[in-house]
Amino acid sequence: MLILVAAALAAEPAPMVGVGLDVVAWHTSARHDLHPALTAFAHLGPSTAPWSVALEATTARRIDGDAFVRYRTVHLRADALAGVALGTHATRFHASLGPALTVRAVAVASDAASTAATRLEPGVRGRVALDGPLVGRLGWAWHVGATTRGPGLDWDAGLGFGVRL
Amino acid sequence: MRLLTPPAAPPLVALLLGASNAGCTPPVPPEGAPLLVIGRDASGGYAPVARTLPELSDPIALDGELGTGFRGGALTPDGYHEGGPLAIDWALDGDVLVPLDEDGLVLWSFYAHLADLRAELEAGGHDVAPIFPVRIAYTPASVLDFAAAENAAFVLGQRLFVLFPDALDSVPLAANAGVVRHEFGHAWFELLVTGESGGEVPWLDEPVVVIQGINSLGEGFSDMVATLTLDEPDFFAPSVPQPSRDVRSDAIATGRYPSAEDGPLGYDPYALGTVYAALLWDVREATSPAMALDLAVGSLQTWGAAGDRDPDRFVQILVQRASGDARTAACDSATVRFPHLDVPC
Amino acid sequence: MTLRLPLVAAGLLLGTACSTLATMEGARTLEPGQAQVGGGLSLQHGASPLSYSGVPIPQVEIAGRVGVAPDVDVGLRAYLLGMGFDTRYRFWQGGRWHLAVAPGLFGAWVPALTGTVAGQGSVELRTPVTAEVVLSDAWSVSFGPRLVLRDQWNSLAVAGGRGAVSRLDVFAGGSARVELRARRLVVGLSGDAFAQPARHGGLGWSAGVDLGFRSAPRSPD
Repeated sequence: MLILVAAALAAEPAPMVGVGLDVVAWHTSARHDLHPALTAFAHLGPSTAPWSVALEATTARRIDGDAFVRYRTVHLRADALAGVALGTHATRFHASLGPALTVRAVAVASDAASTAATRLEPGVRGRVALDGPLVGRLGWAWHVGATTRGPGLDWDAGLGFGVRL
Repeated sequence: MRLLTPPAAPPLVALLLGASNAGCTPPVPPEGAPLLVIGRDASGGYAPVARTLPELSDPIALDGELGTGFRGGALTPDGYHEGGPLAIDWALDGDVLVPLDEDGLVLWSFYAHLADLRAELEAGGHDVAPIFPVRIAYTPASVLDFAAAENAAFVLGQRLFVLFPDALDSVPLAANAGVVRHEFGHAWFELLVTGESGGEVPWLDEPVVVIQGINSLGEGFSDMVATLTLDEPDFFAPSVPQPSRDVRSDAIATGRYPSAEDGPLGYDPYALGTVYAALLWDVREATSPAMALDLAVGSLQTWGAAGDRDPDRFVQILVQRASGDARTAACDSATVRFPHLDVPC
Repeated sequence: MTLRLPLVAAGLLLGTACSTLATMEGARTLEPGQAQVGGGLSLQHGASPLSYSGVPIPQVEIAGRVGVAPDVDVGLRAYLLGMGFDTRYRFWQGGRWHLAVAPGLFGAWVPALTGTVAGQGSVELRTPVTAEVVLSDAWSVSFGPRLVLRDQWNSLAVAGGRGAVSRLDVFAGGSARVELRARRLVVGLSGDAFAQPARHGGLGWSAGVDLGFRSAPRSPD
């Protein structure tokens, strides 16, 4: 662990692309529903500049319901964020804001009615993140964020790994 | 009960093709459109059905003449601090509004069962108008967070229903017609005993043992409302089997009364409540559900008007007010179920 | 089921999974190898379900931190009821100003409680971002945004089957803290305030004091 930390401290900041596992609290009609999600991300921008750009694509699938009605929901969210990026070492702290677009596809099945709906839900996303070196060109990233979607807010947190460019 | 397999995900290309139900959510659903709810049929079975709900003028915010729903909020000794507005997500299947998540389905189902009960009671000559409008809070923050799951509750003095999300793969409790009627029974109990709804609840200042005894009668009356209006002695079964709450039981009151040793949290009011409800089921068996309910309502009103705090006085009042087959049944049942009680037969 | 708030509120202290809303440190990280142990006492509202009984809830905490690298330290924290760890990274320093982020993971679990509840617990992700300005050798002031995402669940075991329900609580707000250092002693006074946008639970807050003892740094601070 200390060797990893030492290696990390010796490295330089660098842009990164990677994938991660998130937990997303999707807002429903009346509360939040937590589900895992997969995210692909890119943290871009000059490594010496105090700003960065992040691109994210997140997807999740939820199956919900009871013995009478079943729901299958697929979320796909893409966002582009810009903000500050600071770090006393290779690990950088990012605080970013930007537009997000969520496409939500819901299929409902019951004996009385079955339907499908696809919703296009634009919004705004805010996020704080950390990213840094791991070993060699491998890196890690962590984030916590919130995204507006329709009348509510989705909340998420995730940990990912990637390649430092 | 057929096990549904999860539906296939709709192709995202539907968005590009401009298919119906694609795009941003339409702001206002078609007025008067039938809603998909979990309904109960005459045989006691539950199934999703499409039905109109004219009482629910705004199905998105769950707002109508019965009351309004809220997302969260906080329940404190000062009362309920209202949460945010609900925004029930929906889509159309033909002309039927279909909720796009289970929370919406449970909320619409709850409202539908409440509307049915109000209509039935009013048709039966019972004035429950002072209870409405109510508030319906979905998972509010409260001291019950430690145990809040798959449940529904009514808060005395607040005209407030509290609902918790579905956790089991059966009829959600908040969508169980019997449970909805049971919880409404608490609201009706308050109205009949105090003469008003949403006001002071005078027995809450009594010693704990007295409160627990009245709680038992309240639970019993709520079970009476559920079992007699549905004519169903075991209304919990479609959701959560609870044989001890089946009012066809041989339960007697002995050993079910609260005592000082129980403390504020050690007493189960349902045990004695079931005995009160079973008494009225015995009357129903000899007469009719409507007659038994009328007798229970009138007796409770008399009990409340007297300012009585002894729940067993309700039994004595009921026997005194009954006549004919109802009196015979009430006498026979009370003598067995309340052996310690001086029953005026 | 009806609710009797005064009765229900009594005696639930040991049965609730809770969080803590108190802040116990600033943005200046410990030097590598330097350690700090201490504790805190606070009055809080909103972190515990008992808050909704109408009285502020006292919270007691113990905490330990150790510097693991320049600008990085890790901490452990235990409170009623729960515990967790965090990693603090000072990501910027300029003159008297220090900026740090300290993501942490905390949680609690209580086994079968009453009736049909088979267990309940919570896990939370804490994301404090802190700015600290050093006023003198002894005094500093820190402040910054705070975000706590907490998922609390109740498991059911009934005749009809088993299930679980979880709910999200979000505490989004800010903190301010005044710190006094005297040799190895660190004393802090903090105040935190949060909105609860997920369940509209009202204002959450904490007012507290913390006390810590830290070892000598290996190099001048």
